Amino acid sequence: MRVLPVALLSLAVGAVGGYFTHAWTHETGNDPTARDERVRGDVVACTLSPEQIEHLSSRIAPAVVQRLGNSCGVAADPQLAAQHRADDESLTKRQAAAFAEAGRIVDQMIANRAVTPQGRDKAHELLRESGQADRIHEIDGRIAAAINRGDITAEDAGLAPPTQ
Amino acid sequence: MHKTITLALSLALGLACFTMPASAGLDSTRTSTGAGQCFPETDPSWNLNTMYCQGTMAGIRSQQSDSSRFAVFSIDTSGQLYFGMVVNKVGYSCFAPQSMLEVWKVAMASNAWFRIAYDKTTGVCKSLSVGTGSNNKTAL
Repeated sequence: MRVLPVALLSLAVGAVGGYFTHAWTHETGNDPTARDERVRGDVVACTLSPEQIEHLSSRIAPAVVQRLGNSCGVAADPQLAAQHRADDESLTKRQAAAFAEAGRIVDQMIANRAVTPQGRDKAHELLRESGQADRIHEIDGRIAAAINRGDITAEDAGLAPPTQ
Repeated sequence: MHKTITLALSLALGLACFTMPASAGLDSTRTSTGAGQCFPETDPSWNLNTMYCQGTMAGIRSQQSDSSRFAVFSIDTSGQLYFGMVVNKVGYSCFAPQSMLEVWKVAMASNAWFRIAYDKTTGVCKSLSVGTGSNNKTAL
């Protein structure tokens, strides 16, 4: 008869001990770095504004967008994402057309063996207007390449240094 | 008789050697790189479209073997960077991206030697080095 209270007491002590031990092993026994990384990842994701997430949505996989949106409590709009994608494609086409037109202008001047400042300016303007100012040297490079081929001279291109 | 001829020839040869100026035919006070030259890349493991031009402005100006030779680094109001060189009436030129602006300014302002690499097909400059060296007497 005296065994039963002792057994119950042992069980109770074991349960209480197990409860606290579990909490201890799961809170302080785990790698704290991993926990910090997990928390930091959530913080990084949620520093994105809904507008940024919408902007990104046209560039990254829909599943990732969905996850980002869920993490930050923002619902990604598939229509808006599609619109962004269409805008990007349209810009790419406009830029390609502007670059081709600038190239055509320069090639025509080379064919005429008369590269004028006005013609070059027009070609440059096309690139600037389409957000491609950083590619102007590529268009001008066609003039240099024509000089290198011997198709025109530096004088034809208006690039020879003035003589005294 | 034979000895006289040999002596005369030796004397004539000696006179010819010692009376000829040291700089005749060769510009011995300047390196060939200072006088300016352009040449293609020949190593197949590199881009064979690459051309190199090098020299110093003073060396190109003072060389007398090629009246057509000149080199120019320029920048215009729209910021375009241009390099041009003529050697033996053959033109070499390229336009540079804006990333080369700083070194371009140095090349324009200095009398240092320069070495530029460009793609002859696209006409785009790839790299530009400028510097001074005690071995180059024309880099004033």
